[in-house]
This record gives sequence, structure tokens and C-alpha cells, in this order.
Amino acid sequence: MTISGGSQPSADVLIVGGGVAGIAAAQALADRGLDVLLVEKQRRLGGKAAELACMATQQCRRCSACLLEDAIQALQGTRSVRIRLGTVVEEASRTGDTFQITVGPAKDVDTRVTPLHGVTPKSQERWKVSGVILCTGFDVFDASTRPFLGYGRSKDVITTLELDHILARNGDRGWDEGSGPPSKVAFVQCVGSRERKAGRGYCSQVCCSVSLRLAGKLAFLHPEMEIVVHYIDLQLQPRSVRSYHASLTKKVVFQQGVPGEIITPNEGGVIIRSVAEDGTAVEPVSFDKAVLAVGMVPSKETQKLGDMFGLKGGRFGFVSAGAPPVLAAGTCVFPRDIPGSIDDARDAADRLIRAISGNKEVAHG
Amino acid sequence: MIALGENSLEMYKDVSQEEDFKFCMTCGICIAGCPASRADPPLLIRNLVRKVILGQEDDLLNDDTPWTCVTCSRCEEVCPQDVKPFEMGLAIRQWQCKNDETRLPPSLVELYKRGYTQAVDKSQELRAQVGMKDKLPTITEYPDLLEKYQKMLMQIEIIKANDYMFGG
Amino acid sequence: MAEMQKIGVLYSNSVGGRPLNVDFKKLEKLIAGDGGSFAYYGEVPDLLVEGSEGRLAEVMKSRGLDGIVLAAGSARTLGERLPILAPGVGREQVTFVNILDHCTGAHEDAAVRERKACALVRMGLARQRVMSTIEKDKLEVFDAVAVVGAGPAGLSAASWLADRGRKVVLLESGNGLGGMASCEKDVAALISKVEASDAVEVLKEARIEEVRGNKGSFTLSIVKQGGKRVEREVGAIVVSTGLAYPPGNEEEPWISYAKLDKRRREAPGDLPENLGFIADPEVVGELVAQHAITVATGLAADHGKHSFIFMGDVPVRGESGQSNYEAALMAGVRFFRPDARGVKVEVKDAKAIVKGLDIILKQDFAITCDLIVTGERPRVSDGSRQAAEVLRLAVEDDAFLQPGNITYLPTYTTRQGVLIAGAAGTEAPTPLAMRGGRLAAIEADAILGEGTISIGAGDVEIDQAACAACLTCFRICPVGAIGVSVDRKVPRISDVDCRDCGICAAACPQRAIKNFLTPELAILEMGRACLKPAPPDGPVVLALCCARSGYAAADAAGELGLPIPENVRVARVPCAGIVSTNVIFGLLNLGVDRVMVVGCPIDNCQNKHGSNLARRWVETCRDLIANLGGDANSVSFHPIASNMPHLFAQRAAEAARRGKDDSRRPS
Repeated sequence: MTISGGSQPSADVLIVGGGVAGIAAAQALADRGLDVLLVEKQRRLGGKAAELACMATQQCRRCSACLLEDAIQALQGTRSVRIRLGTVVEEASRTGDTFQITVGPAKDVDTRVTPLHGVTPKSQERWKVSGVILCTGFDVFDASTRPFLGYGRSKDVITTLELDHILARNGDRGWDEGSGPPSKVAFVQCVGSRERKAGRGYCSQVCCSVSLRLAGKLAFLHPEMEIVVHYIDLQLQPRSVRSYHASLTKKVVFQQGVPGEIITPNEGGVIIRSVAEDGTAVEPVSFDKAVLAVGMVPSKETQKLGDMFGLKGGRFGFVSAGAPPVLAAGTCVFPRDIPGSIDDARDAADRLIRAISGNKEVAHG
Repeated sequence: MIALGENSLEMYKDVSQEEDFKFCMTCGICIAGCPASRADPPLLIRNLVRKVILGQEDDLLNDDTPWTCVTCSRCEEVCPQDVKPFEMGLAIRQWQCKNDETRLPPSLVELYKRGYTQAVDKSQELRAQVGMKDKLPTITEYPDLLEKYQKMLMQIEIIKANDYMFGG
Repeated sequence: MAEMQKIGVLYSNSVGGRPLNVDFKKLEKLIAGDGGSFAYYGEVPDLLVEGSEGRLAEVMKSRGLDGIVLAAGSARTLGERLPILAPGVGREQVTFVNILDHCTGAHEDAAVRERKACALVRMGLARQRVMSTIEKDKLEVFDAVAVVGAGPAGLSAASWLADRGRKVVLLESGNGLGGMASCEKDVAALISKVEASDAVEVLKEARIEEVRGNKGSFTLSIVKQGGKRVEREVGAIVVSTGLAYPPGNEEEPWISYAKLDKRRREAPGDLPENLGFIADPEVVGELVAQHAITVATGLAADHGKHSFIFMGDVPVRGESGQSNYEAALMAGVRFFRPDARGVKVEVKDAKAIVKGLDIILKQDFAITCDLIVTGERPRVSDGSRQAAEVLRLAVEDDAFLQPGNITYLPTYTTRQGVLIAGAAGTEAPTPLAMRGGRLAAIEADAILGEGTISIGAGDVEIDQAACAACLTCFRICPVGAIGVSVDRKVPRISDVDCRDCGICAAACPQRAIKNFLTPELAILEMGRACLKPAPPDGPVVLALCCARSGYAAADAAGELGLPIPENVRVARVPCAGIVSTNVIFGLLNLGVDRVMVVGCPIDNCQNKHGSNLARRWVETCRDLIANLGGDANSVSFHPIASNMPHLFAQRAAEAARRGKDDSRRPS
């Protein structure tokens, strides 16, 4: 932060969003001597990745969820990053090479969270910055908008993110409090993705590997559990997932065709109607739980901030990657996994540094 | 056997002028909720769309399943990719008739015999399983009405022309 | 050394605005009463916050302290900020005791909280007493970077570094630049830029024969065109050796992807009507599969060809993958989806009949194609293989040069100063390969820094008299910091590369490696200290937690207020792999009832073999104990990632409980 003659605080770059991409971008900028203002709406860093569980079985399954912890730690040692938690960007205007930014306390955030890694200002602050990177991430698709999937009607229909929470909370032991693990679980892929009719005709990129790792973890914890993955087109990426899939086919049934209906009887469990294994007959099958692999959709903040900073041209409601001095990185540009978001953010940081250093001498090393 | 004939790859243009069906991802949601998917023979609407895309002309021309559709249009509602499978089913029916003037869908025979497009006499076992009255009441229980009904249908050109199929 | 140290205990009543709720005045008496000794005890409010820079150094100087135990928050949060907020204080001079999470967060009962705090501070004191002091030294760094392989990744790395004013030695095994993508526009632009640059020395038909030295000061022996040998000195090495695409069958109707690309560029109209693409990622690899979609689409949309793609699942990667797939569907490219058995091709009358079973229709298909395009799955190039051998890099099962995500940045390898970019790491299309090159270049640039790097001067060393030259340390070192001197056949440790994990010392059968920052002695001393004050109930469980995984999970458990039993005492170790059988039995001998070793999930250990070693050591101990008729459960290994605090709390509770049950059992 540079204070020049008692005027308003300034930073080289504003980063909006303190998830995986925002943290990586901030670190990359700070490593090369730039001052960063990092604004995060929630009162903690990490975004959605902070809610994920470790997917290791006997060995690490490269889910990358723990990378976030390392990234947050590294950022703690970085002085030139000012972190504002529970804060949103309220206004932005541009004059020449500078942006005037007004940030202020966010509404409707969980105030019970103690902000650990940054400051939570109580009033508005005005900042001057020379560049902006939007890292506003994604929203999880709201599965209750697809009523025939039964989400919201029964506790036995959950999302992959909720299963992550269960596994994170109960370690490698249990399931719900007080009840044993289910004996039959069905995963349903592409919930909210590949829905051209709703303007989301894209693949969310990560859900197949997410479900695969979850299915593998369940099969590892509960070898007796019957697991079926209903998929459309399995996306086996990254490389390690492909070999993992091959080794899982003995324990997990991968069935092409997703359910057309999930019935939720009052007595619990779910009944799934989907294309049967042989591709023809359709028999309703009972399961104890259905896990919906919910996709990534553009967040509301992304659209608002995209308008504010004039980032247009992204598909499906995402923002475009932009050009210096306004860039976007991570899942607000298109769905990506954690390492993909990190790389994307670091690359955006590099593009911005090279553009800014044309105007200003950037500290070396 | 899926194979490609001379005009197979252009065939879809005859069936439908729409482009939407090309986006079918074969997710199977259309089949999974379809009431006619449990008919005999089952209507597998996804497979019909795929056959159009892959140009399975001969196969489709002889396929009777499009005629078992009960036109509830559920598939149309739930299709995430906006493929419009219901429209496609109807389009296939038209295409079949256009390409084969002698075509007589079995559902027409059923319609003539019992007043239903589906082969309802085959559904008895299934009905019994789910606790329904084992026999679906049809017009055959009222012989005088049936006679009137069939006489009326005989007025229709295609039935008249093929009366040997119906008379028996 | 240990007796000479003057150690102070500094505490703070709040961390980042959060009160600790521990009566530190009372604690002082407790610690002193329990036989803990310290030179100074006092409060430093708001430790390590911005604006109090240098305060810690001042206190140390004015009180004449050699070391400090900081009783406040986590080493993870405060420790990371130490270099900034306490300039002049070395990390070996400070031991952090996390009162905030392990006492305040985990215990509601004030008495329990204070007993725990007392035990933790005593453990901190015990550790700090045996910490060795490191004198920092600076080392000159060679101001050049070697980039091995001049494909898209290598070119973009070289160009980035040249822009930054770095000297680059660009090695290419072939005689042209650009690799597989030399025809692409972006790559062609890079080629001319690199060739015109004064900063880049391009060595064609060159390969590295030998690498000496360490991060910052590598010396490369290079064999170049005509067998001539040259030497170059570089500070960092970027490996961008790419992939090799073995050619497919070229006898028509077969054609390789490379040849089709050529014909497509020259005279696309001359290509026959029906084109089949065997493009399942299992067969041709991820990259070719996506390339096939693009090519098939282009030929269908622009030249009216009929394209048939045979692949089980259609990979849709990123924005470009998404739009390519949509374009393919619009252009009328037909996707046949064979089952896991794939397709069989019969050639008849110079045409190919592709046969298989479609998984959607559950019907056999037999599609006649005029040309059938295929290839073999890409393999690691000879260049990558050779580079991996010369540079001593770990490779994965399928021999790509990537160590996985064990470190934060995918550009890192298992050797410091050697970075990886592009398809040598994982199959990457040209734009991603170029991005990989840039990211590796950034890291290389950071290593070169301003010409020097800080190192700990000569702390870790191998006692040459005790060394049996078995080279266990050489094989086990996760960062390639241990080299073998050619003449004497004995290992040597590089101070530049050593990350101080200590697993070589733990693994050394001769116990010949000395002077680690956290030596085994420190763990034993912590074990001795953790016994007091004794918990009123149950045995003492010492949880030795890997700083990166288990300790982070333990901290987070406290942060979330999860209950950790009082009798579980958490200690931080640099790597679970240093908890050897000697250490475990030493701890049990001292009177610790249970030892929990908490490390990373196997395969995700930053020190590669660390958690696996820890697991094996624990198993050995359990076997021995069981054979001697003892309770094998008194030693246990738990792989717990940093994001699994609930799992840590659960395991801690189990260890404490199991202990209680057993203690009631007559032995």
C-alpha cells in the first residue's frame, strides 16, 4: 500500500474474490513486487474449495482440495497483499490508467465466522488501483429447479458438495449422525450441465472426476456398498483419473444414461428410473441415496462485476478472460478444476504484470 | 446392424428441417420417463433420434415403435438439450408414410381392432403386477358398438385400400 | 550448545483480536513448578502484527535471548509471517505454541485449558532448547536459464525469460524449432522472435549429457551438433521436452494424423468422401482425440466431407473443447460410441470397414470409410526420458515427467531448480503448453532472483567416518539435495537444495546424518516435556503431526472448536517421515503412553517418501510390540490431509479412548 500525501490508499491490482484463483493471482502478483488489494465477500478465504473433503483412499487421488490450505498459508507470509474480508466492491470508475474503487461491508454473509486472514472494515473504503482481476468463481447449480430429480423433497437426494461435507465432517467413519452408511448409492451426472435448453449447454468439466473420486472413496470406506454412476459422457481428466476409473470398474457400476425421474417415497430411499444396463428396458431401481453431480453456473456477482468492469463476451453467462488492465481468471471464465484455476490465475497475473510494467517500473525478483 | 447406405447421411434432412436434434447427448432422460418405453415393443425415443443422426434409413423405415408414442410430450419437457424428441417421433411417422405409401403402422390395426393405438392385450401381466384390474376395458366388450366403429373407420382411405389387413 | 541457550517464553493474550482466555500469569508458576526453565517470561501484546515489525528482535536483544517460545497462535499463520514481521529473527530461533487453537479452541474448561497450555509450552521449550542455530549465507546464482526442448512450451518459456532480460540456453534435440506445433501461427511467431533474440542461445541437435551442481548453480555438459561438447552454467532448468507421437499405419486406407494434417493443408478437396477417425483417448491419447474433433469438423463443414469419429466418451475440455464439440455436432460429424472393446477395422477393396458395438443403440455397426485415420497413444519423448535420467527426476507410472500435485505448483519437479512445462508434464494442447512455458519461466526467474539466494550455511552434514556409503539417503531425498561424489563414492548434502525435512537422517542405518533443524532429539525432548502436567484421566497421547497436513488439520480442528481430548498433545514435526522406530521406542521409553503419527495421504507427501516411511516405521513398531506381548495400538499412523480437521478430531478421540480402555486392563 502506498500512501501519497495523505490521499486515498492505492494498490497496483484489485483482485475480486478470495477463492483458489484469487489467492493464486494475489500470490503471483505479490511475488513480483506488486501491491494487491484482495476483496472477498465471505468472512474467510478459500471460496468453495474450502468446503471439500480429502478424497484419498489408500493413496492420494489428486483431488487437489488440500492445495488451498498451502496457498492460504503462503499468502500469510506476503505483506503486499491487503485482504478485505466480508467486503464487496460497490462502485468502480475508470480515469485513464487508474480505477477508483469503492469497497464496503457485504450484506447477507455469515457473521458468525471469525475473519482469520484479513481485515473486515466496518465502513466504506475508497481505493485507487491500476489493474483488476476478477476471480469471482461460480455458483453451484440449484438442483431443486429440476423437480423430477427430487432434490429438496427428500433428505435422501443430496448433491456431490453435500456428500463432500458428510465425508469431511464424519471423517472416514460414518454417514449421517446416528445412522449407518447407506447400502446402495446412485450418482447422477450432468445435473445442471449440458442443458442447452436452459442456456447451459456446456460441460462443467469437473463433476465426472468429482463423482468418480467420491464413488471411489465410498467404495474404499464401505466395501459392501453398491454404487452406480449414471453418466452421459465420462470426462476422465486429469490423467490420473483415467487409470483410477479403470481400477474402479470392478467396484462401481458405470451406467450410460441418466435418470429421467427420481421418486422419493415417504418411507425414505429413492426409486430411480433410467435407461437400464442393456439400453432398452426401463425398470425402476431402488437406492438408499441419490447423489446429484451438480454443475457450475456463473455466479450472480460475476455478472454484476462483469458489467461494472466492462467484461463482456463470455459464453453461457460467464465473463470473458478480458485484456489488461481488466482480466478475469478461474471459474468465473469457464468451469475448471483447482489446478486449472491456479494456472489460469497465475497466467492472468503475468499478463497484467507485463502490461502494467509498461507504465510503471515493477520491482525485480 | 448399423451401416450406411447411399443417401443415409442426407436422410435426416428429409425427416426434419430442424437443427436442434443434432445436439442430442444421448443422456436417456427421454426414455427414462417415457410411458411408452414400457410398451411392447418399447418406444426408445433417444435411439430413434440417434438413428436419424446416424442415417439408419432402412432400420427406421421398418420401425413401428414411433407409433406407440402416446403423445404425452413429457420427453419434450425434460430434454435438457432441447432436442425436441417428441417432434422427432412425429416427424419420423410422417417420413415413414411419405416414403412408403403402403405403410400400415401396427397401431392402426390395433386401433381398428380394439380402439387403442397400443397393443393393450399384452399389458395384462404388467397391470396385474401393479395391482390394477387385470383387463383393460376396450370397445370389444360392446360388439354392436365395435361394428359401428369399424364401419366408420372403413371410410378412411388407407384402411379401405388395405381392407384385407383389417377384414380378418 | 543446549546448556548455553537462553530461551524466553513470550505470550499474547489475544491473536488477531481473538482472546486466548488463558491465565498466563498462573501458567508461569505452573511451568516453573514443573521444572521448565526459561530466561524471560513476559507478554508481548499483538505479536507479529503489522506495525510491530522488529519488536521481537528488540525483545530478544534486550533480554539477551537466543531463542523464543511464542505462546499464541499457529506456526502456520504466524510462522509464515515471521520473515516480514520480525526481520532479523531466524526461523530456527522461534518455536510456536498454538494456544489459540489447541487450548482455547479445543477446551471449554479453564482448568483443562491451562493444563494443556502448560504442557504445550513445556514441549515448546524442550524443542527450542535443542534447535540448532543457522547462520544465513548468500550464494551467487548463475544468471541464465536452460530450456530443454524447443516446442511451444520451451519457446514460450525462452521468449518470456528473454523479455525479462534473462539469458537463455535453448536446447533442441531436432534440427528445427517448434516441435509438433511448428506450423501454428502463434508458435511460428515465437520461433522468429526467439531466433532473433540476442538473449537466447539456440543449440540444435543438442542434448544434456551431464548435470552438476544444484539450484542456482548448475553446470550442464551439452553434446551439440556434430558431437561437439560445450559447458553452460545456469541457475535453473526448464524441461519442456514434450511428447512423441508414434506414427500410425500409413498404408491406405490407413493414414496417420500427421499425414492427414499435411494432405488437409495442401489439398483438402482431394481427400475422399468418407473419413473415419479412430480417436478414443484410450487409443490415441487425450490430445489427439480433441484434435480429431477439430479436423473432422473442419473437413465436414468446409469441404463437405463425411466425418465419422469412433470414440467411447467424447472429451470436452475447456472453452475450446466445448465450442469444438458444438461445431462438430452442427457440422454433422457422426460420433459412433464403441464399447470398451473398441473397434476392429477390416480392409476390403481399398476401403476400411470399421466394426464395433454402439453402446447407445446396443447394435453392431459396420461403417465403410475411404480413409481411416489413426495413431498410437503418445509416449514420453526420448528427450524427456533422457532428461529425466540425467536430471534424476521422478516420473509417474506412464513416464510423464510430472510428480503430480504434491506441491502447490504443477511446474515443480522432485528436484529443486528444475521446472517442468507443457506436454512433458501432461498432454497439453498448444495454448496450454505455451501457458505452462510461461508459468515455468516465472518460477525460473524467481530462482535467479537478484543474483543471490540465501542458504543455511553448512548445517546438515554427513559424518563421513560413520557413513557406510549405502546411499539410502541419496535414494530417499525428496528434493535431490544429496549427491554422490564421483571420486570417493560417498554422499554429500547440498545446503542449497536441502529442505530440512530430516527423513534421510531418520532412514540412515548408520545414523550418520546430523544437525537438522528439528533433530530426533527435539522430538524426544518434546516427548519428555509432554508428560507434565499429567492429565487427570487417561494416558498421555503424543500426536506427532506433519507440519503440512496433520498439524494443519489439528489447528483447524481447534479453530472450529472441535473437542480434542486433554490427554492428546499435539507436536509439530517437519515431516512424518522423521518419526523413525528409534524415535517411537524412545518416546515409549520416556513414558509416553501412545504415539500417534499423523502424515499426508500416501502419494501426496511433499517429501515424496515421507508418509510411506512413517507408515512403515509405525507398522514395524506395532509388529515388534505385538510380538513382545504389548499393545500394538499404542503406536498408530494416520494419513490426514490438511482439510480434514474433523477426521483429526475423531482419530485423536479414538486414540485417547483406546488408551483409557487399555489402561484399565491388567497387564
